Amino acid sequence: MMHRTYVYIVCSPHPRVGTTLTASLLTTYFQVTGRQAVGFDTNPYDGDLARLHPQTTRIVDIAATRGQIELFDSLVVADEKPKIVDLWHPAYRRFFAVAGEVGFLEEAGRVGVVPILLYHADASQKALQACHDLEALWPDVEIAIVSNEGAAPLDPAHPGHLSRFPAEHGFRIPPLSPEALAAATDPDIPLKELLWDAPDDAPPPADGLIDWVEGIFAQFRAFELRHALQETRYLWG
Amino acid sequence: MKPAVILVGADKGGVGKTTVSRAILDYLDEHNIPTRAFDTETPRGTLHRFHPDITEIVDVTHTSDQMRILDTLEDSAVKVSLIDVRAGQLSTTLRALRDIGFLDAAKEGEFTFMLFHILGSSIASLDEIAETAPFATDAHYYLVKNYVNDSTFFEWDPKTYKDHFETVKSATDITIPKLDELAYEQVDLAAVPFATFRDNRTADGDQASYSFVLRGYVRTWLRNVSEELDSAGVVQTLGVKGKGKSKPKSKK
Repeated sequence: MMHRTYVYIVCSPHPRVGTTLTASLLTTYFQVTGRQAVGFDTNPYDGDLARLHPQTTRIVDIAATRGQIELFDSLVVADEKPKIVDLWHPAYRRFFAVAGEVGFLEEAGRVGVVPILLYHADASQKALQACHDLEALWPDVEIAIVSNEGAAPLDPAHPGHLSRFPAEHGFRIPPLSPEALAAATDPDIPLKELLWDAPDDAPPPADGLIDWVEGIFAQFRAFELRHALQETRYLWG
Repeated sequence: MKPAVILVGADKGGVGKTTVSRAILDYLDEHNIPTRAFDTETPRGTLHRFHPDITEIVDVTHTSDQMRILDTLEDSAVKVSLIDVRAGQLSTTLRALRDIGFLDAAKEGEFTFMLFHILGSSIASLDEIAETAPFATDAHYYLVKNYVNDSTFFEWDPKTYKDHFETVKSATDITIPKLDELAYEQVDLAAVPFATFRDNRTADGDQASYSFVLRGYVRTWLRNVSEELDSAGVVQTLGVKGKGKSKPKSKK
C-alpha cells in the first residue's frame, strides 16, 4: 500500500526564528526512526542545514530556474520519502510565487504528495499577518505553528499572540542553554551520532540536551501519528 | 465559417514570429479549430519542425506556392490557414496578396484576413507599422508586442510609444508575455508544440519526462497567451460558433 509523501516546508519571512534548527531536528528525527528524509537548503551561499546534514541535503538556489527545477521537480515525486525544505527568509516570497506559477499544489494533489507548512511564529504583527496571507494563498494546506522560545521568544505582555495564528496544531521548541545548543548544532558531531550512536566511553552530552530532544521528538511523533490516523480514516472512508 | 488566412510576420528579424505562430496554432487547437500552416522559411522551416503534421514549407514569392495556399482556401476541409512569413518578407507578401486580388476579396467578405504584425523593440521595427498599415485597412490587424524576447517597446518613452502605437486606430494590441528562458529552450530542444510539452508528451504522443517546473512555466504562459487572444476576439473573428475550449490532451 502506498503511503502519502509528506513535504515539510519550514518557513518564516523573518530571519533568526529557528527554521534551520527545526529542519535539522526533523531530519534527525527521521534518521533515528529509520527513515531517510531528503533536505533542501534554499540558502545557496551559507546554508546551515546543508552543513549539518551534508549527506542528505541538497543546496538549491530558487532565484535560478535550474534551482527551481531541482527543488520542485523533486518535491512532486511521490516516493514516500519525507522532504524537508528549509526556506531561507530571502527566498520566502520567491518560493511561493514559483510554486503558484508552476502549479505545485495541483501537481502535489494529483500525485499524492502532502505539503505541510511549519510556519515559525515570532512576536511581530508582520509575522502574524504573513501567516494569514499564507493561509489565504494555500487554504487547503495544513499550517503547523512552530514557536522557538529560544530564538524568537514571544512577548509575555501578549499571552494570546500565538493563538491568533491560523493553525490548529503546533510545536514548541523550548529554550536551551548555549552549551547544549552548540552541541545540538555541531556539524562535526551530528546529533544522531552524539545521542544515539555515541561510543560507551564518550563524555555525557550537555545538561538538558537529551530531555530537550526527547520532548521535541515526542511532538514530532504525535504529529505523525495524527496524520497516520487521518490517512487510515481516509483509506477506510 | 468563411475561409480565413492568418498572416504572422514582420520585416525585422528575430522578433519571434515563429514563436507567436506556434502559440496561435496551440491556441486554435485548444479551441478545436483545425488549422493548416505554411512555413515560408525555405528550405529550413522552423515552424515545420514543431508542427510537422499540419505545416508545409512554401516560398511565397513563387506563384506556384501562392497558388498552393490561396487557390485551395475554399476547397480545403481545413478552413483556417496560418502563414508564418519569414523575416523581411512581410511587405513583399502583402504586396503580392494585393496584386493577386486577395486583399480585395477579403474586403468583399470572401475571406477573413487576420494580420499579426510582430514588433521588435527598435524604431525601425515600429516604423514598419506605418508601412504595413495601408495593406491592413481591410484586415483584422493585430500589433503584437512579443515579450518573450524581453523587449520594452519604448514604454519608458511615452511620446515614441504613442507616436507609433496610436497611429493605427483600427489595430488591436496583443501582448505575448515572457516565457522563462530555460523553458523556452527546452521546448525548442524537444521540438514539440508548447501544449505537447505542457502535457509531458513526445512528438509521437508517448509519455515524456520533461521538467515539472518547466512544464508549469509553459502552462502558465500558454494560459496567459490564450487570455490575450481571447481578449483580442480571435475566435470570434474567425466566425467560430458554439465551440468551446477542449481539455488539455493527456494522451494521444
